[in-house]
Amino acid sequence: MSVLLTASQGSMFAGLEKYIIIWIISVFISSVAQIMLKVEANKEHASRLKEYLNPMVVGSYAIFFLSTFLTMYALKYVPLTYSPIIEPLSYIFVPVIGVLVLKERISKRRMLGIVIMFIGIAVFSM
Amino acid sequence: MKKTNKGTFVGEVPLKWFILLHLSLILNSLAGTASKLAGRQKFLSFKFMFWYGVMLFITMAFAVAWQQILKNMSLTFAFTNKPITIVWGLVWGVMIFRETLTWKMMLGSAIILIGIIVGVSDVSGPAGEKTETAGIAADSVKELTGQSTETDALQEVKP
Repeated sequence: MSVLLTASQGSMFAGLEKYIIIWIISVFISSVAQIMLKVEANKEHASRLKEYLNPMVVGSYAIFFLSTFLTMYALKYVPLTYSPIIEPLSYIFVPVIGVLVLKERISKRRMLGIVIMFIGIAVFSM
Repeated sequence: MKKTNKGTFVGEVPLKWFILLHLSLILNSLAGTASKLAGRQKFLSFKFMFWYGVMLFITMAFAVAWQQILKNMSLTFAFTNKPITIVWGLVWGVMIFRETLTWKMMLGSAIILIGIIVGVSDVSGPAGEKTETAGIAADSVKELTGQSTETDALQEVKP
Protein backbone atom coordinates (compact mmCIF):
# COMPACT_ATOMS: atom_id res chain seq x y z
CA MET A 1 0.00 0.00 0.00
CA SER A 2 2.87 2.37 0.79
CA VAL A 3 4.04 2.03 -2.81
CA LEU A 4 0.62 3.16 -4.01
CA LEU A 5 0.58 6.00 -1.51
CA THR A 6 3.97 7.20 -2.69
CA ALA A 7 2.93 6.85 -6.32
CA SER A 8 -0.28 8.75 -5.64
CA GLN A 9 1.71 11.85 -4.70
CA GLY A 10 2.45 12.23 -8.39
CA SER A 11 -0.22 13.00 -10.94
CA MET A 12 -0.79 9.32 -11.82
CA PHE A 13 -4.06 9.02 -9.89
CA ALA A 14 -5.30 12.57 -10.54
CA GLY A 15 -6.93 13.24 -7.16
CA LEU A 16 -8.45 9.79 -6.87
CA GLU A 17 -6.12 8.71 -4.06
CA LYS A 18 -8.80 8.87 -1.35
CA TYR A 19 -11.23 6.68 -3.31
CA ILE A 20 -8.54 4.24 -4.41
CA ILE A 21 -7.55 3.84 -0.75
CA ILE A 22 -11.22 3.23 0.17
CA TRP A 23 -11.35 0.52 -2.52
CA ILE A 24 -8.13 -1.05 -1.22
CA ILE A 25 -9.55 -0.96 2.34
CA SER A 26 -12.65 -2.71 0.96
CA VAL A 27 -10.50 -5.49 -0.56
CA PHE A 28 -8.46 -5.68 2.65
CA ILE A 29 -11.44 -6.06 5.01
CA SER A 30 -12.85 -8.77 2.70
CA SER A 31 -9.54 -10.59 2.99
CA VAL A 32 -9.72 -10.28 6.79
CA ALA A 33 -13.28 -11.71 6.63
CA GLN A 34 -11.92 -14.72 4.69
CA ILE A 35 -9.43 -15.31 7.50
CA MET A 36 -12.28 -15.08 10.04
CA LEU A 37 -14.21 -17.76 8.09
CA LYS A 38 -11.16 -20.01 8.15
CA VAL A 39 -10.55 -19.42 11.88
CA GLU A 40 -14.10 -20.62 12.54
CA ALA A 41 -13.79 -23.53 10.05
CA ASN A 42 -10.78 -24.76 12.04
CA LYS A 43 -12.93 -25.08 15.20
CA GLU A 44 -15.11 -27.99 16.28
CA HIS A 45 -18.83 -27.20 16.46
CA ALA A 46 -21.66 -28.90 18.33
CA SER A 47 -23.89 -28.92 15.24
CA ARG A 48 -23.79 -28.11 11.52
CA LEU A 49 -25.98 -25.05 12.17
CA LYS A 50 -23.48 -23.66 14.68
CA GLU A 51 -20.79 -23.83 11.99
CA TYR A 52 -22.69 -20.98 10.34
CA LEU A 53 -24.58 -19.22 13.10
CA ASN A 54 -21.72 -17.87 15.16
CA PRO A 55 -20.31 -14.34 15.59
CA MET A 56 -17.25 -14.95 13.36
CA VAL A 57 -19.13 -16.29 10.31
CA VAL A 58 -22.03 -13.84 10.62
CA GLY A 59 -19.49 -11.04 11.21
CA SER A 60 -17.54 -12.10 8.10
CA TYR A 61 -20.61 -11.84 5.91
CA ALA A 62 -21.46 -8.46 7.47
CA ILE A 63 -17.95 -7.34 6.44
CA PHE A 64 -18.44 -8.71 2.87
CA PHE A 65 -21.71 -6.76 2.73
CA LEU A 66 -20.02 -3.55 3.98
CA SER A 67 -17.21 -4.11 1.49
CA THR A 68 -19.62 -4.14 -1.48
CA PHE A 69 -20.83 -0.67 -0.39
CA LEU A 70 -17.28 0.65 0.02
CA THR A 71 -16.39 -0.66 -3.46
CA MET A 72 -19.53 0.87 -4.97
CA TYR A 73 -18.70 4.21 -3.27
CA ALA A 74 -15.14 4.11 -4.62
CA LEU A 75 -16.44 3.18 -8.09
CA LYS A 76 -18.47 6.39 -8.18
CA TYR A 77 -15.14 8.19 -8.66
CA VAL A 78 -12.57 5.60 -9.71
CA PRO A 79 -12.88 4.14 -13.22
CA LEU A 80 -13.76 0.43 -13.37
CA THR A 81 -10.61 -0.07 -15.45
CA TYR A 82 -8.68 0.08 -12.15
CA SER A 83 -10.45 -3.11 -11.06
CA PRO A 84 -7.86 -5.58 -12.47
CA ILE A 85 -5.18 -3.73 -10.45
CA ILE A 86 -7.07 -3.40 -7.15
CA GLU A 87 -9.25 -6.55 -6.88
CA PRO A 88 -6.37 -9.08 -7.27
CA LEU A 89 -4.75 -7.52 -4.17
CA SER A 90 -6.83 -10.10 -2.25
CA TYR A 91 -4.54 -12.80 -3.71
CA ILE A 92 -1.72 -11.08 -1.82
CA PHE A 93 -3.63 -10.04 1.32
CA VAL A 94 -5.19 -13.47 2.02
CA PRO A 95 -1.97 -15.57 1.86
CA VAL A 96 0.01 -12.93 3.80
CA ILE A 97 -2.59 -12.65 6.60
CA GLY A 98 -3.05 -16.44 6.40
CA VAL A 99 0.64 -16.96 7.13
CA LEU A 100 0.69 -14.32 9.90
CA VAL A 101 -2.58 -15.18 11.66
CA LEU A 102 -3.40 -18.79 10.78
CA LYS A 103 0.26 -19.88 10.72
CA GLU A 104 -0.36 -21.57 7.37
CA ARG A 105 2.84 -22.13 5.44
CA ILE A 106 3.36 -21.40 1.78
CA SER A 107 5.89 -23.46 -0.15
CA LYS A 108 8.20 -21.79 -2.65
CA ARG A 109 6.25 -23.56 -5.38
CA ARG A 110 2.95 -22.06 -4.25
CA MET A 111 4.54 -18.59 -4.19
CA LEU A 112 5.79 -19.21 -7.73
CA GLY A 113 2.24 -20.21 -8.73
CA ILE A 114 0.84 -16.98 -7.27
CA VAL A 115 3.46 -14.91 -9.14
CA ILE A 116 2.56 -16.70 -12.43
CA MET A 117 -1.14 -16.01 -11.75
CA PHE A 118 -0.41 -12.30 -11.34
CA ILE A 119 1.39 -12.30 -14.70
CA GLY A 120 -1.70 -14.02 -16.15
CA ILE A 121 -4.08 -11.44 -14.62
CA ALA A 122 -1.85 -8.61 -15.96
CA VAL A 123 -1.85 -10.10 -19.49
CA PHE A 124 -5.62 -10.76 -19.27
CA SER A 125 -6.42 -7.14 -18.43
CA MET A 126 -3.84 -5.43 -20.68
CA MET B 1 -2.39 -35.65 -8.74
CA LYS B 2 -1.09 -38.65 -6.88
CA LYS B 3 -2.33 -41.86 -5.36
CA THR B 4 -1.40 -42.68 -1.78
CA ASN B 5 -2.61 -45.37 0.56
CA LYS B 6 -5.01 -42.71 1.92
CA GLY B 7 -6.59 -42.09 -1.51
CA THR B 8 -5.96 -39.71 -4.41
CA PHE B 9 -4.66 -36.24 -3.56
CA VAL B 10 -4.18 -32.96 -5.40
CA GLY B 11 -1.41 -31.22 -3.48
CA GLU B 12 -2.39 -31.62 0.17
CA VAL B 13 -6.12 -31.99 -0.58
CA PRO B 14 -8.15 -35.18 -1.24
CA LEU B 15 -9.41 -35.32 -4.85
CA LYS B 16 -13.05 -35.22 -3.67
CA TRP B 17 -12.53 -31.88 -1.88
CA PHE B 18 -10.49 -30.51 -4.78
CA ILE B 19 -13.44 -31.22 -7.11
CA LEU B 20 -15.91 -29.70 -4.62
CA LEU B 21 -13.66 -26.61 -4.34
CA HIS B 22 -13.79 -26.17 -8.11
CA LEU B 23 -17.56 -26.73 -8.30
CA SER B 24 -18.01 -24.04 -5.65
CA LEU B 25 -15.73 -21.67 -7.58
CA ILE B 26 -17.86 -22.24 -10.72
CA LEU B 27 -20.89 -21.37 -8.57
CA ASN B 28 -19.08 -18.25 -7.38
CA SER B 29 -18.42 -17.15 -10.97
CA LEU B 30 -22.10 -17.74 -11.84
CA ALA B 31 -23.14 -15.31 -9.08
CA GLY B 32 -21.30 -12.59 -11.02
CA THR B 33 -23.13 -13.62 -14.19
CA ALA B 34 -26.54 -13.46 -12.46
CA SER B 35 -25.64 -10.06 -11.05
CA LYS B 36 -24.71 -8.86 -14.54
CA LEU B 37 -27.99 -10.23 -15.94
CA ALA B 38 -29.86 -8.31 -13.21
CA GLY B 39 -27.91 -5.16 -14.04
CA ARG B 40 -29.15 -5.32 -17.64
CA GLN B 41 -32.83 -5.25 -16.60
CA LYS B 42 -34.96 -2.28 -15.61
CA PHE B 43 -34.41 -1.61 -11.89
CA LEU B 44 -37.06 -3.41 -9.75
CA SER B 45 -38.76 -4.98 -12.80
CA PHE B 46 -39.78 -8.65 -12.60
CA LYS B 47 -36.72 -9.77 -14.57
CA PHE B 48 -34.47 -7.66 -12.36
CA MET B 49 -35.96 -9.22 -9.19
CA PHE B 50 -35.62 -12.69 -10.73
CA TRP B 51 -31.91 -12.41 -11.57
CA TYR B 52 -31.17 -10.57 -8.33
CA GLY B 53 -32.88 -13.45 -6.48
CA VAL B 54 -30.84 -15.98 -8.48
CA MET B 55 -27.67 -14.06 -7.54
CA LEU B 56 -28.62 -14.03 -3.84
CA PHE B 57 -29.45 -17.75 -3.95
CA ILE B 58 -26.15 -18.66 -5.63
CA THR B 59 -24.22 -16.46 -3.18
CA MET B 60 -25.86 -18.18 -0.21
CA ALA B 61 -25.29 -21.66 -1.68
CA PHE B 62 -21.64 -20.70 -2.22
CA ALA B 63 -21.36 -19.42 1.37
CA VAL B 64 -22.68 -22.73 2.72
CA ALA B 65 -20.31 -24.76 0.50
CA TRP B 66 -17.30 -22.51 1.18
CA GLN B 67 -17.41 -23.08 4.95
CA GLN B 68 -17.32 -26.87 4.41
CA ILE B 69 -14.48 -26.48 1.91
CA LEU B 70 -12.43 -24.40 4.36
CA LYS B 71 -12.81 -27.19 6.92
CA ASN B 72 -10.98 -29.50 4.53
CA MET B 73 -8.07 -27.45 3.23
CA SER B 74 -5.83 -24.50 4.03
CA LEU B 75 -7.08 -21.05 3.06
CA THR B 76 -3.94 -20.47 0.99
CA PHE B 77 -4.65 -23.65 -1.02
CA ALA B 78 -8.26 -22.58 -1.63
CA PHE B 79 -7.17 -19.07 -2.61
CA THR B 80 -4.49 -20.35 -4.97
CA ASN B 81 -7.36 -21.92 -6.98
CA LYS B 82 -9.66 -18.89 -6.80
CA PRO B 83 -8.35 -16.97 -9.86
CA ILE B 84 -9.97 -19.68 -11.98
CA THR B 85 -13.16 -17.63 -11.48
CA ILE B 86 -11.61 -15.07 -13.88
CA VAL B 87 -11.42 -17.78 -16.56
CA TRP B 88 -15.00 -18.95 -15.83
CA GLY B 89 -16.15 -15.32 -16.00
CA LEU B 90 -14.62 -15.18 -19.47
CA VAL B 91 -16.39 -18.41 -20.51
CA TRP B 92 -19.80 -17.12 -19.32
CA GLY B 93 -19.08 -13.71 -20.89
CA VAL B 94 -18.51 -15.30 -24.29
CA MET B 95 -21.32 -17.89 -24.00
CA ILE B 96 -24.06 -15.74 -22.45
CA PHE B 97 -23.19 -12.14 -23.28
CA ARG B 98 -21.42 -12.81 -26.60
CA GLU B 99 -18.50 -10.75 -25.38
CA THR B 100 -15.52 -10.63 -27.71
CA LEU B 101 -12.58 -12.79 -26.83
CA THR B 102 -9.18 -11.21 -27.37
CA TRP B 103 -5.91 -13.10 -27.68
CA LYS B 104 -4.68 -11.31 -24.53
CA MET B 105 -7.61 -12.75 -22.59
CA MET B 106 -6.88 -16.24 -23.90
CA LEU B 107 -3.15 -15.94 -23.20
CA GLY B 108 -3.85 -14.45 -19.75
CA SER B 109 -6.27 -17.29 -18.95
CA ALA B 110 -3.68 -19.88 -20.02
CA ILE B 111 -1.03 -18.24 -17.80
CA ILE B 112 -3.50 -18.08 -14.86
CA LEU B 113 -4.20 -21.82 -15.31
CA ILE B 114 -0.47 -22.60 -15.38
CA GLY B 115 -0.09 -20.53 -12.19
CA ILE B 116 -2.85 -22.55 -10.49
CA ILE B 117 -1.34 -25.88 -11.60
CA VAL B 118 2.08 -24.81 -10.33
CA GLY B 119 0.62 -23.39 -7.09
CA VAL B 120 -1.43 -26.44 -6.13
CA SER B 121 0.96 -29.18 -7.26
CA ASP B 122 2.89 -30.84 -4.52
CA VAL B 123 4.78 -34.09 -4.33
CA SER B 124 3.88 -34.60 -0.69
CA GLY B 125 0.69 -36.43 0.25
CA PRO B 126 -1.30 -36.06 3.45
CA ALA B 127 0.82 -34.98 6.43
CA GLY B 128 3.91 -34.62 4.25
CA GLU B 129 3.87 -38.28 3.25
CA LYS B 130 6.11 -38.87 0.25
CA THR B 131 4.79 -40.84 -2.70
CA GLU B 132 6.42 -42.47 -5.68
CA THR B 133 3.89 -41.25 -8.22
CA ALA B 134 4.34 -37.49 -8.40
CA GLY B 135 1.89 -35.76 -10.72
CA ILE B 136 2.52 -34.36 -14.16
CA ALA B 137 2.10 -30.84 -12.79
CA ALA B 138 4.80 -31.40 -10.18
CA ASP B 139 7.12 -32.77 -12.87
CA SER B 140 6.49 -29.77 -15.08
CA VAL B 141 7.40 -27.52 -12.14
CA LYS B 142 10.71 -29.33 -11.84
CA GLU B 143 11.31 -28.57 -15.50
CA LEU B 144 10.26 -24.95 -15.03
CA THR B 145 12.33 -24.25 -11.95
CA GLY B 146 15.08 -26.70 -12.73
CA GLN B 147 15.15 -27.77 -9.07
CA SER B 148 14.02 -30.72 -7.07
CA THR B 149 10.65 -30.14 -5.50
CA GLU B 150 11.19 -32.37 -2.49
CA THR B 151 12.56 -29.64 -0.26
CA ASP B 152 9.51 -27.47 -0.96
CA ALA B 153 7.18 -30.34 -0.29
CA LEU B 154 8.72 -30.97 3.10
CA GLN B 155 8.22 -27.33 4.07
CA GLU B 156 4.51 -27.66 3.52
CA VAL B 157 2.55 -27.97 6.77
CA LYS B 158 -1.02 -29.17 6.90
CA PRO B 159 -3.60 -26.94 8.60
